Amino acid sequence: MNSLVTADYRRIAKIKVSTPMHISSGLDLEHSLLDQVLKGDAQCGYALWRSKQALVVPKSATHRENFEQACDFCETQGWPVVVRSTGGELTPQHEGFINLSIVLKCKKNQLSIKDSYQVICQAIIQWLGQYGIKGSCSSIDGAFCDGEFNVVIDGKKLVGTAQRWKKITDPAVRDDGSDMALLMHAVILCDGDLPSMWNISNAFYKTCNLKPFIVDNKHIALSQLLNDHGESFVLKMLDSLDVTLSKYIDDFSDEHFK
Amino acid sequence: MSNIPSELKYVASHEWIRVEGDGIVTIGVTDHAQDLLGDVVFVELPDVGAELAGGDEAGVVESVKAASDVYAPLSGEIVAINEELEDSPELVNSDPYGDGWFFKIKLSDTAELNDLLDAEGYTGLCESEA
Repeated sequence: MNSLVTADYRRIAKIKVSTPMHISSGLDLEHSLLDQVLKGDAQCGYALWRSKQALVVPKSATHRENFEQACDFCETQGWPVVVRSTGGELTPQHEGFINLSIVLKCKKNQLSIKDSYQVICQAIIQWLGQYGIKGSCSSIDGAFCDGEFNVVIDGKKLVGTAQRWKKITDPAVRDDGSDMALLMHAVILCDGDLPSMWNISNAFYKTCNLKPFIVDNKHIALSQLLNDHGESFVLKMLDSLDVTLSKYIDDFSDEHFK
Repeated sequence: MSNIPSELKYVASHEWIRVEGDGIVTIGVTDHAQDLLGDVVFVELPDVGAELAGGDEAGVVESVKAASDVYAPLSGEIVAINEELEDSPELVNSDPYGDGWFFKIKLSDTAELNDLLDAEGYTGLCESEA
């Protein structure tokens, strides 16, 4: 089912959008999810969604040399470039990828940036374990949007992550000045022609007079790991992750908000 | 333990405030905050002339790990921003209390200064996060 939005008595938002959407709509979706925490409508929640082909960059990229030219070039190649509000680096989006956005309310002193990355990475690692895939977190030199909280399989990047922190300012929602709303995002390389994505990403960097650094063999897709592919495979994985996430976020809520 | 200068004031969202006189204060993020964020790659600051209330969003810091809002700890008008951060955001990491300052506010109510944490209070806050 598309656009399934629920919030139960524990105020947990759960959203799944199976049909690939324009990347701007996807980013709007995760911000609406974050707004639910900022407004006190949800204590935590998640959204699973898919995007049509695009490149997503952080705001820092907009100050790079030839940024507009790089955007124009990528757009002509069928890869529109959109700016996102989470940190990190350039990330491709594709119909074959699954996006997971998790939001939660927390105290500034309750959860560090590292701790919160563990929340989203462990959810994914737990899910992968159901398929006999052993994931872990580490940096991969040559991977897109590299960081120590990639989810990697045998030294190859399967998942990229980023996050955004906002202070809860509504007096009706916050207990004190340390209440934060946290958005964590993960993109899971489920299926698709990965080399073409690294080619366009590297072309973006090159146009910005930066050294292209993304190396194809530093990545792996779920389709390669599970020897399956195509739209039905992506949908199957999306539904499976939804089941795991639903329980994971319920358990998280019971542990932290009861 | 991170560096917490005794002459500055602080807020729980990890901004520091230096009282400059004439109702003007300088704002930045603390050593503790920059350490949590990791390498800062971009800082978006408010426009000079903007009127902000205490607690309003005043900008965004992007690091290699995360993006986080910066808040105006006090109410007033933005009278200066650190334009050097556009080309050298790493100053936030290397000199958070000096060249890595963010913006200056002309206070609309100096009584708000009384609500700020001193170094001892902020140290206690940081220790509770450790």
